[in-house]
Amino acid sequence: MRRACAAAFGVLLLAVAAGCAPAARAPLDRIEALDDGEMIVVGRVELVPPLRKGEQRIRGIGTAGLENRMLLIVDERSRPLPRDLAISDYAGRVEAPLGETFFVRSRGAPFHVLGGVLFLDFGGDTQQRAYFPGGLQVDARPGDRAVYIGTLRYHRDEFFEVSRVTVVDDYAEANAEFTRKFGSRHVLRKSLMKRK
Amino acid sequence: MNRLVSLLAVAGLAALAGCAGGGHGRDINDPSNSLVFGYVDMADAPTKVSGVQIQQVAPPTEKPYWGTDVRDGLFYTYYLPPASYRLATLHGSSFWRGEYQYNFPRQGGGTTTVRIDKPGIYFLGAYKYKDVKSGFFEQGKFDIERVSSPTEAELLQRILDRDPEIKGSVWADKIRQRIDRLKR
Repeated sequence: MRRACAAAFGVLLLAVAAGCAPAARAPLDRIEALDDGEMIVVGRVELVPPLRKGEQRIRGIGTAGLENRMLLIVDERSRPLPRDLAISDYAGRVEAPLGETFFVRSRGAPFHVLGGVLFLDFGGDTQQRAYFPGGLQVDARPGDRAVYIGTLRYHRDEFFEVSRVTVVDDYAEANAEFTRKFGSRHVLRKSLMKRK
Repeated sequence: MNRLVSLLAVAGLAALAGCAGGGHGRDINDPSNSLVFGYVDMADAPTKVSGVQIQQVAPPTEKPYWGTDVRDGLFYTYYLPPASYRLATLHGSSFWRGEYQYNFPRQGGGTTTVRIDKPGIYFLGAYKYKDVKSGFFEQGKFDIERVSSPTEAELLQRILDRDPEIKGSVWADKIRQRIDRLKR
C-alpha cells in the first residue's frame, strides 16, 4: 500500500512540475515591459550532438514547456543541484529552447546556474530526466537592463553522459538578435557565465 | 561494485511495449544479431522478475524497446542489431504485492549499457537487487549491486541448456566457443 501511495504521489509531483510548478523566468518581447530593478537575460543552451528525433518523448497536456528545452535551475544562492529536485527548485528556472537564443526577464541581481534538467521521457508510465552540471555564476551590475551570459554548451553521448561543458561567447550573433528584437537604443552588456 | 539508484513504480504492465524475447521480426540466424544477456537476483525485491526490457538509445527508433527471455533472473535476447542499448526496466508481479515495474535511469553509461559496433556476445553483468529507503511520499527506489556469481560462463551454459531454440541455431557454437574462451 505504501508503495502504491508513493508511486502515485511521484507521478503527481512530476505532473505539477510540468504544469503548475512555480513560475519560470518569463520570455520577454518588449524591453519597456521591464520593471525597475529588472533586466533581460540573454543566452543559449546547446547539446552536442543535438537531440535527435525520438530521444525525447514528451506526451500530455501542458508539457510543451519541456519539449526540446533545457530547464536551467537558477538561484541567487550558490548551492549544488539537488538530485531529487523539489518543486521549489524549479522556481525562476529558465526554459531554454535548445539551440536558440532565449530572452527572459530576471531580477537585476547576480545569480547562479545550479545546473540543467532535460526531461527525456514524460507522460508515459515512466519519467526520465537527464541532469547537466552547473556551478556557474552570472554577475549583474546595478542599472543593468540587458545581460548576455553566453552559450552553455554540453557535449554528451547517447547515454547523456556529459563529457565536456563550455561557455561560448556568441555575443555578436546574440547582440544582432537582441537588436532586431528590441531595437538599437538598448545595450546588451556581456557578462559570461563563470565557474565559481 | 555497480550501484544504481533507480525508481520503482507500481504500474500496469499493459503499456509496456515488447514481449518476452521480442525480436522485432528478425531471424535468429541473422548474422548481424548480437546476444545480450545479464542476471539479476531479486531475492530481496518485492517480486521476482518476469520481464526485462532493453532500450535502444542510438540510433533513436520508433520502437526502441526489445523484450528478452527471462528465466530465474537470467535475461537475454539474441536479436539485437548493432546500436547502443541500455537496461531499461524489469517487471514482475506477486499475488500479495501486485505488479511492479523497476525503472533504470535513462542517463548514464556503465555496465548496464552496451554499445554494439559489431555482432557478438555481450554480457551486461550479474546483479543483486537492494532496496533503498525512501520517504513515505516518495516514489520507491532501489539499487542494484554487481555480484560475481553467477559468472558469465555459467549463465551462457544455462542459456544453452535451457533454450531449445538457441540450441538449434547458429548461437549454439558461438556460445560454446565463448564458454571455452572464458574457461581458459
